[in-house]
Amino acid sequence: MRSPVRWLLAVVAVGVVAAVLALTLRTTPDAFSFNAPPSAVAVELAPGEEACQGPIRVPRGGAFSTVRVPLSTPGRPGPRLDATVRVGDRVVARGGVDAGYLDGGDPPITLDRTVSAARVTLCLRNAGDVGMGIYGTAGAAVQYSRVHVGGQEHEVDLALRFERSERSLASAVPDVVRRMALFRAVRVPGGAYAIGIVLLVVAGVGALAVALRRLED
Amino acid sequence: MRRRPSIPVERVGPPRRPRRPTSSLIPLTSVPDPDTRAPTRRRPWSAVPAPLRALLVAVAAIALAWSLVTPAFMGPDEPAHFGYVQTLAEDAALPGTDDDAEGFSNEFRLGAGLSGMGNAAQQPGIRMEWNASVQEEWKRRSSRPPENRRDDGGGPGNSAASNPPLYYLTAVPAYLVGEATGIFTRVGLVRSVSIAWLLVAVVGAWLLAGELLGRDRRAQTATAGVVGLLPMSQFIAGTVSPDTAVFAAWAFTLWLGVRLLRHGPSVRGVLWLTLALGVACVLKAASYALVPAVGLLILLVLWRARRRDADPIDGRAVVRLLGVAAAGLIGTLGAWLVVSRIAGVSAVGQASAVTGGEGGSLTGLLSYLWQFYLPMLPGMSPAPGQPALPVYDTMFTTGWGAFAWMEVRYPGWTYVLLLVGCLGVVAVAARVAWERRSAISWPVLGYFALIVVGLLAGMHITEFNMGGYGFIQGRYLLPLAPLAGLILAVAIGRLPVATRTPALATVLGALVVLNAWAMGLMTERFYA
Repeated sequence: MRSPVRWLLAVVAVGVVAAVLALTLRTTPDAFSFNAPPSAVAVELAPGEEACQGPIRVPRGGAFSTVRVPLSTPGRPGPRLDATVRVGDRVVARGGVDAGYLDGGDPPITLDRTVSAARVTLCLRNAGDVGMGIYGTAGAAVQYSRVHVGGQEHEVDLALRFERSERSLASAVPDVVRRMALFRAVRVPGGAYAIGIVLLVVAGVGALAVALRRLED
Repeated sequence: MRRRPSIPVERVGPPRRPRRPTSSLIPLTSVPDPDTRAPTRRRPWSAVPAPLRALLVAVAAIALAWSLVTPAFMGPDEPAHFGYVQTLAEDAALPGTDDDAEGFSNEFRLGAGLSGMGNAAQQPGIRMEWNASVQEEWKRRSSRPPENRRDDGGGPGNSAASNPPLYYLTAVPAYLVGEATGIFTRVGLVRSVSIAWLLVAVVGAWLLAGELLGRDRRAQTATAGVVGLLPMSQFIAGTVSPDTAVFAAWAFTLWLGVRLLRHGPSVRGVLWLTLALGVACVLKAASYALVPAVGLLILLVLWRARRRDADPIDGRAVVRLLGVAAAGLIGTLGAWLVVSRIAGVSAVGQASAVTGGEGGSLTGLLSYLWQFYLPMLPGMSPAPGQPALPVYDTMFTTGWGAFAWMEVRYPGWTYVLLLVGCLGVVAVAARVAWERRSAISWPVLGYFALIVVGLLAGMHITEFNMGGYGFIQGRYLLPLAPLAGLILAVAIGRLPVATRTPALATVLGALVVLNAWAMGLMTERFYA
C-alpha cells in the first residue's frame, strides 16, 4: 500500500475502531456531579444530628440510586449514618451506611429506590453514638444550594456524588452530547454541537489527505 | 584601495541575482533557481504552496474542534488570560494595577460559578454543570446588574497579570466583536485568536524547514505538521492563552535567525529577526531565553561578513546594522519597557524568578539538575516533591498530553509508546546527521543549541529558585516544536523514497488520532 492517503485513512480507521471499542467496553456509574470538591470537613455531626443539602438540581438523565460522600471519623470506626432523599417534606427514598467505615472513606449509601425528581434535598443523620464529619467545601461552592444542620444554615456544600447502576459510555452518549452543549460559545442542541465537532475533525483529516495528495503530485 | 561597505538592501543600481546558499543544515534536495519561476501574479492565498494551504485548513479545523470540546475556562490559567483580555477591553488598563478592584469581574464569577468551572478545575471528580435549568438561571442573572458587570475586574489576584500584553492586545478585537453576547461566546471568540496564532506558527515552521532542507515540500509538511498537530499545541490553541502566539514568534525567530546566518547580514534580515525577538519577549517573559542566541548570532554574522574575502562590510556598516538591531528591539521590547514603567508593573514578569526566589547552593542546583534528568545517586538528598524521573514524568508526559488543568491524561502505556517512537526518530535523524556531518552548518546547530539551552536553563533556574519542584510543565517546551519537526523531517528523509510520504501520512494520522482521543478523554472527564 503505497498511497499516503490510504495510510492516513488506515491510521484514522484504527483510531475510530479503538474509540468504538472504548465506548462499548468502558463503563461509568456516575449519574451526575454536585460540583462540590472534598476540600475540608464541611460539617460535624454529633450523635442524632442531621445535615441537609438542598436544593439539589437533578439534571435530565440524572436519576440516581446511590450517593457517595467522604466521611470523617478520626481515630475510630464511623457510626451508622442514615440517609433520606426528600422532595419538599416528602421522603422519596431512604438508605444508609452501617457503622465501621474508615476515616476518609466514601462508602456507598445505597437508596431503596431510584430517584428522578428534578429538585431534591438529601439529609444525612448521625445514627450512632459518637461524632463524625462530612467532607465538602470550606465555603459555599454551589450557588443555588445550602447545607442546614439543626435548622441553621451553613455556608458550605457537601462533596456529594450521585451514582446509578454501571452503564457503558456508549449508552451515555445521548446524555453526554446534551450536557456538553451547555455554557458554550454557540447555543445549539447537543446533537448538533457534537456533530459539529465530529465534522471538524473529519474536515481536518480530509484536508490532511489533500495535503498528502499534493505532495505526490 | 578603500573597500566599499555593503549592506545588500541598500545597494544602488540594478539588483544582483541573489546568491544561492552554499550549504544547508542537511541538504536533502536542491534549491530551485528563483529566476526559473514564472513571474505570474497570483492572489496571496493561491501563492501559498498547496500542501501548506491544506495543512493550515487541517490545523484550523482540528483546533476549532478542540475549542468546542474544552469547556470554558478549562485550559491552564484560562480564567486569568481571559480576565487580562477583559480588563484591557473593558477598562483600557493592565490587570493588577487597580488595588480597589476585584481580581475578576462579576460577570466572570457568575459564569464560572454556575457553569461549575470554579469547582471543577484540577478536581477530577468534579464535572461541569449538567443541568439546563442552571444555564437558564445564568442567562437570567447575567443580563442584569450587578452580576453582569464586566468592568469591575482587573485588581490583584490575576496570575497572568505579570505577562506582557501583546497577545492580549491581539485578542481584544475578538472580544469586542462579541461585546453584545454572553461571556461564553466571548471566550469562544477569543479562543479563535489563539488558533490564528497557531496557524502563524505553522507557517513559521514551514519557512524554517524550507530554509534548512531546501524546498522539499514533504520535509516542510512534516516540520509544520508537527508544530500544528501536536496534541498539546492543538489543545492550547483551543483555549485563551498566549502560548500559541509564543510558538509563532519562536518559529519565526528560528527561521529568521537561520536565514540571516545563511544569507549574510542585511538591514531587513537584522530588523525582521530583532522584531521577531522583541515580539516574542512582549508575548511572554520566557522568550528572554532567546536573547543570548539571537545576540550571538547577529554578532557572528557581522563578524563573518567583516572577515570574508569577497565584499566584506566595514565598521560603519557594522555599527549601522547594530543600530538596526537596536531599533528592532526598541520598537517592540523597548515600547513595553516604557509602558510597564508608566503603568507601574514588572516588565519581566515571571522571568524575575530566574534571578529571585528562594535560591540555594550551587551543589543544590547541580543535585536538582541531576535528579531531573537521571536517577538519584547514593548520597544525594532527594529533591522534594519531584517524581522518580522528572524529565519523563513531568516534562515528557505533560508535553505530549496533560489536558484541562493537567488532570486529563492518556493511559500510562501511551507515553511509553510515544517515548519509543520519539527515540527511534531521534536515532534515525542522528544517524543521518552523522552520515552527512560534513554538510552540517555548525553555526545553525549552535544557534539551535543556544536556544534550547537558554529555554531549559530559564525553566530549571526558575523552578530551583521556587523551591525545586512544581513549575516545569512539558508544554513550556512547545516553542521548540519546529526543531522536533525538523528532526522528524530529517528522519523521514532517510527512508526509501517510495515510503517517505506514507511514513509522513502515518505520523500525521497518528497525531490526529491522539488529538481525537484526547478530545474523547476531555468529554468523558467533564460530561460522562
